[in-house]
Amino acid sequence: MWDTLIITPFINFLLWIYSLIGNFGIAIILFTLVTRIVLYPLTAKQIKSSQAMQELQKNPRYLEMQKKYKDDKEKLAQEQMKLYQELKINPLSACLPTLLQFPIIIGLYQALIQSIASAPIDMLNLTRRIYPALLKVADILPLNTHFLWMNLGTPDRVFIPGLSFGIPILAVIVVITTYISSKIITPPATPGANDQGAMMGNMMNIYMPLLMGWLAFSLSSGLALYFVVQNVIQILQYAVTGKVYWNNLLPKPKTQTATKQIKRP
Amino acid sequence: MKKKILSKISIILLAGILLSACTTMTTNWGGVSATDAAVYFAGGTQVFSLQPSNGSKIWAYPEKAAPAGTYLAAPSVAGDQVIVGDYLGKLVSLKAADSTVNWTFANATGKYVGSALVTPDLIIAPNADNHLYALDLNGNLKWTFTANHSFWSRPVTDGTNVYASSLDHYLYAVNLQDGSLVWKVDLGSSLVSSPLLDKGVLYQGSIASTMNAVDAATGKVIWTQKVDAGVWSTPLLSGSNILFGDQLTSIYVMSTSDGSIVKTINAGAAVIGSGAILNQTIMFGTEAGNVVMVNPDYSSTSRSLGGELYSNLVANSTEVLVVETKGDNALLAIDANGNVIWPFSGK
Repeated sequence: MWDTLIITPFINFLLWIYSLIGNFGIAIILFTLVTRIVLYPLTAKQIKSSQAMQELQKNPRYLEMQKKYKDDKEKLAQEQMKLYQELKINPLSACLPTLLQFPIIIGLYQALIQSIASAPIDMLNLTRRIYPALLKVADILPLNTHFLWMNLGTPDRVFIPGLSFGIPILAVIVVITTYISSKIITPPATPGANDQGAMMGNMMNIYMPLLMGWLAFSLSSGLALYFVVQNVIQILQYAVTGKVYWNNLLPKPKTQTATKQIKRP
Repeated sequence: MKKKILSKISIILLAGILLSACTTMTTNWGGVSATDAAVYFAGGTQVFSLQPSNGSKIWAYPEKAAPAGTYLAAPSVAGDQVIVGDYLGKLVSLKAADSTVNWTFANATGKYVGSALVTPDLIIAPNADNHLYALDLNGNLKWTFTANHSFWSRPVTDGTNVYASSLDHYLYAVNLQDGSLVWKVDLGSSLVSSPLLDKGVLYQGSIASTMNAVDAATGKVIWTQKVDAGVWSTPLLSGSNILFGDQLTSIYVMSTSDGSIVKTINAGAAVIGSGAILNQTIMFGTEAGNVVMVNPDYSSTSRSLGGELYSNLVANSTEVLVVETKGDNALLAIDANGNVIWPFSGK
């Protein structure tokens, strides 16, 4: 079911793009772009909901109840719920689009892995997934997996004379773009607000890029390319649709912030 | 709060593990080769030398198991050396007696999917980095030949040329001594199996559902026959016919003279690996875990061994060796009736 409805159509779509272009790297970029465009309504809804939640955290009533009920979690939850209802905010509406996207993203990932087919069993499976009415096995295989300096079927390493190890350039780019894409959508901490969420966000901003970087380092560079394109599109989508906090990327002067916080009544 | 942070980190790590797991869902098949003295089996994590009579382990290389899917190409035997290629691009010569490393060749950047061809003077190793590497028996590189895509199968030779099939659709004839191109012929789709060379004719299947006969001297296509599905195996010679399976359910008996189909045998499932002959019985493994036994009159019976049988079957003088993928065992030795003589667990 999962294979028939998600993975096989995605594989055929990806390979169909490849059959038109003849370059697997560009096919991955276009494939990611098209799927992000198709998923745009969900993404836009998610961005909108996230922004509403972020704005809420600056609301004086919200800040006041955080202080007032800081020792009574149950009451705090009740009051928050009342405020959500009053302002017509559904806290789950930010999560739901993400959850809906999740199976599609996993499908994309698997389609990519299976299309690269760098071992006999993968190619055997791939030949069975190709729609004969759309693509011919003889024409489409083998894929030309070379793109720029990379072989998209193997982990990316650039070897420089004199160095005994390869540099994973794409993995580094994945770390940087993942960091930027998560950092610029995190609003600056509101003084007085519950800092638990901010702390969690900061942890995510560190661990997520590292995790994605590790995957890009150890898996095929085709997948790493997909991660990079995905991140760049996400940054652009946020820039177009929502509010981005470019200042988050700059180092913060610690003493100034501390002084400001002290001066607040 | 700490708990929440920890659970969040755990979820991220779990997601990472799941994502990584998605890449290793498929199980590749291993390879086997045999002499009268030993059976050599590349079982994924290690290469084993086994007693042909009872399957007991003589040695395992490396001693500590490598990650799954490292050793899958069938080992080749060159006198007292066993040549082992891995999926990390390393070709190693081991002493057949005790697996001591003689030499290592690490120039390749791709996987060794097919096993090396051994001639009296040379070892010719096909690699997925688009190269054939010819080494002398001490592991010194003599020449390389480059195609437009991967070599996944063992080349064959007539003592003058090396014939190698590539995923780039071409069957190549290369001079054995210096690696220069003699001829090449486009057979229309990826070639994943070795050709069969008989009386100056190469028989080569393709994944675009064709069997081709090519003149080894000139590279001229003599005939091409369409079959129902992709051909992943090297044909077997039986009198004036060749036998091979396809990736649907058929085993074909095909005339070598004009490619006409003499008989089609229903194997019940895909036949990916090449067959083997033992006591005039031709045997094929199927993806459904059956071994199909074809008699000299082309009548057939089958027997279930379990697992999935993708690898080439290999025969020595008394038994046929069957690699079992996703089964209870890793390797089985069977007789001409399909009875198991010994199993090997792969550990």
